[in-house]
Amino acid sequence: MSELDTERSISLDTCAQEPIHLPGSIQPHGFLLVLDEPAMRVTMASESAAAYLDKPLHLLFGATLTELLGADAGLESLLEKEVTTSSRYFKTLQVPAAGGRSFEVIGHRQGSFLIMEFEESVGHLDTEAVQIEIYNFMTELRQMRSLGEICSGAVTLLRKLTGFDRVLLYSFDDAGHGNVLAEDRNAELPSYLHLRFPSSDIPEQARRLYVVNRVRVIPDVDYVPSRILDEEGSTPEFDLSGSVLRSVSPIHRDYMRNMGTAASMSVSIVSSGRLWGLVSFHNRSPRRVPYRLRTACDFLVQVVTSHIEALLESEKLSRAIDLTSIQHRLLTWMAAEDNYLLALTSHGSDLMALTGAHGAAIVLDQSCTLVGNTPSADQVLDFTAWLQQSARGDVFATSSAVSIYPPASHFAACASGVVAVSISKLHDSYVLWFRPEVVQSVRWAGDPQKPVAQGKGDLTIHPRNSFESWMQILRGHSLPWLPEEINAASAFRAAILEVVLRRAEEMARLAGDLEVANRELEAFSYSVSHDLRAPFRHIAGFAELLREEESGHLTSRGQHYVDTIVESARFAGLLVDSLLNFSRIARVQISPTAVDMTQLFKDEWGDVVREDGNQRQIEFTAESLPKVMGDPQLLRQVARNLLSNALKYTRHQPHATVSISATREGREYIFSVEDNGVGFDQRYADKLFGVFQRLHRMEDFEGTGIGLANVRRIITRHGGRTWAQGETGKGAIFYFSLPVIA
Amino acid sequence: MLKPILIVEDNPRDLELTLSALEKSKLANEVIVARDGEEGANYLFRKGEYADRAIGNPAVVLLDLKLPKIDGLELLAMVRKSPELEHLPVVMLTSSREEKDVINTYKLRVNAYVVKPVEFKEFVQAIQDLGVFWAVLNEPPPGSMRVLRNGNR
Repeated sequence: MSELDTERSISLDTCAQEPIHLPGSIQPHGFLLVLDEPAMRVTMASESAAAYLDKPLHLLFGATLTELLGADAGLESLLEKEVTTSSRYFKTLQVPAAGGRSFEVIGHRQGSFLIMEFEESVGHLDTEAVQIEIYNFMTELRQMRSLGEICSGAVTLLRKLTGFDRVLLYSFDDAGHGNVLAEDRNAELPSYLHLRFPSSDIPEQARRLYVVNRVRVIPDVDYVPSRILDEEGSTPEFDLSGSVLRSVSPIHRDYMRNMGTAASMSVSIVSSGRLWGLVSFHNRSPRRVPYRLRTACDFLVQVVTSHIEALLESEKLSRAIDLTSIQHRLLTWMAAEDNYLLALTSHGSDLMALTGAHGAAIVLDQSCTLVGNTPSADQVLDFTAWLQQSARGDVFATSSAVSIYPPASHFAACASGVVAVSISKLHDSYVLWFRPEVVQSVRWAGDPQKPVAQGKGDLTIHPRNSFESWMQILRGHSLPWLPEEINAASAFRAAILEVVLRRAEEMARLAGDLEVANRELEAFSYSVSHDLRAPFRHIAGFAELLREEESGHLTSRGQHYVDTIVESARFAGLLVDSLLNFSRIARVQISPTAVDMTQLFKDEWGDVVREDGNQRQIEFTAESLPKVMGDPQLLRQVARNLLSNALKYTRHQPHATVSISATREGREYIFSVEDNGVGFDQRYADKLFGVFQRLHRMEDFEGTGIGLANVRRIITRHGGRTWAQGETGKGAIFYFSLPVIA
Repeated sequence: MLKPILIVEDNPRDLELTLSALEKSKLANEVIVARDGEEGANYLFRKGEYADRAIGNPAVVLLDLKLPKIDGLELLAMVRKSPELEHLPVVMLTSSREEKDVINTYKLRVNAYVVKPVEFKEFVQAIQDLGVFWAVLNEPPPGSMRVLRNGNR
């Protein structure tokens, strides 16, 4: 591929150190003269100069260009124009001293030296035809919308223009790994399409060189290098970075021979000063490419480069827009759901698209929800536990989990790449995205694994070995996460936290509202207690005084009215007191102590029966009830309410039974208070526990209708539940549960 | 001579009911009525309209909690801070059964806290019991007697 692909194969150490810009020689299809400024006389020359100019080398030193090439060469005046460090084409020059052969004259500056290269002209170039081809292609380019289309269009045209057997276009990813994107070839050479090779194939100094000097050419791999010599006959260390004739590494020539190519050329794709990719030209037999055609190729590649840049930029932009709208959609769903994080999993494809992942997971307090292609839930939980423990920060991204977390080897195939964002400082809560191992995700066109015919020589230097090496290097790696993908994850995390924060604020606001409401309620019940009771007391008091002192003046009907007033005022007072008690239950501090429920129920039963005063035969059982933790005063109210209800509603039973029992179910005790009284319609079972809800007429069964509401409130405050079961005329069972003492 | 009973009560109807209850109890003690906390304080500290009253503390103060100007708790606090009156028997006679009120009142070393019953018979019974207990059975604190006898301060 490139001339430096091979250096990996010999020795990575020497490769990185080889001074490839200082070869000390050129290829022999032209000659090179170094002029010393300001004298403008030759101080160094390539051996080939002597041959081309038919003059011993030592006679060249100290001569001017006019002296060597003839007065009509007119080069001196051309050189007055600015010569820069990058090479410049001056003219095509016919040199009488070289037997009338034509040369392309190219020059560039290197310190205080002018380096003049004379590349022997080759063949006839129909510049007009080339121009038309390029022009037409540029028109077509405007219609092309995909990278693949642009790249294959470019290689097709480049091969057509240059006549090489094979033209490849490949790109480098951020890690520097190469990937052949497009190829055009004839049957002479095999396909390398979609081959990949590791970044180490092209060391850093080579990349720099390729950025500076975009076009390199090797017309004949079997050339004999032509040394550059100075007057003393030695080869000075001389930077040939800008040279078009520069000689290449002998190893690279071995490499070319192994590939079965005698001639090659490459043109760099440089984007924003970075080596984005290369176009590589190969030919089975030696091949010269006219200088101006190479220039045209370079021009074409630059045009293509700018199209690729624009395309990538617009893809990036539209991806950014996509990401924003994906994020927006996800947040909308999250906002709509109570369980906002799990809302993400029902929109898994968007969640994955956010970072270009193949799988995702949401970890919330030790529970894990998976979407797409992922490790198992346990593996994910182990991984997040490790993340938490190793304090990897809020946003964690790796394209090779296994390199930092060895257990990841078990799920490398589906999740070599991991992005994890922490969404809670307190709990192990994460959103994670996964990418498969890259060698699993590469799609093949053709079969790069197919063995090629082994040629002679050392075939360790071969693109297919590069491919093998690339696969080894990228075992356990995913495609890299792009900065914008990590940014998307990070922005998403911020958005989630905002949602979480907003929820928390909402909760805090609600709690605040509740507190205000509670205070108002407290103020209300206080005023009820103090202000409402007073008028009832007055009504009752004065009605009583009326009855005592003035009953002689009242008719019997009048006395009945007064009795009713007294009774109503008394009942009103009772209601107010009940309501007050009810509101107090909600606010009172619970002071839990161990309560013996058997004793409690027996005590209360005694009290209730005494107050009832009704002499009846009632069978009461309350045996071996458990001890619970609770507020004795409040639990006493529970027992009293339930027992007085049982007593009240069995009033008409000749053989009343009231029995209390308890069973343990898991972490709670279920208590039941069962009677054989009038019962109730099961349809109204839940109404029973409402405030002032009554299922019987007042004249049948007296009461304020708040007793069971108190029971429910007290039991709820103890962490229990209340329910009831009954049938009209067949008794009732009231249940309540209380937590088992830990 | 029987020491008087001081009633501090702003509500005329409660006052009337209290007075009729006391009437029914046939206590011989004089009943002094103050209609707000300030008047109650003036009587106790012999200020304002009571600046010239004869020296001597009541047998008991029946004090309402919610009162205009100076409320029951404030008046109780004033009484407990005063060296002459700190042992004066004070009974909080109120409609409120609020725990907060009960606790705050006891913190100020009230002698009794009585919630006015809604039912008149109970109310009469309560007032009578209070009158009999504090005005007849209870031995008043000796400190105030000494002040009374010495006539100074």
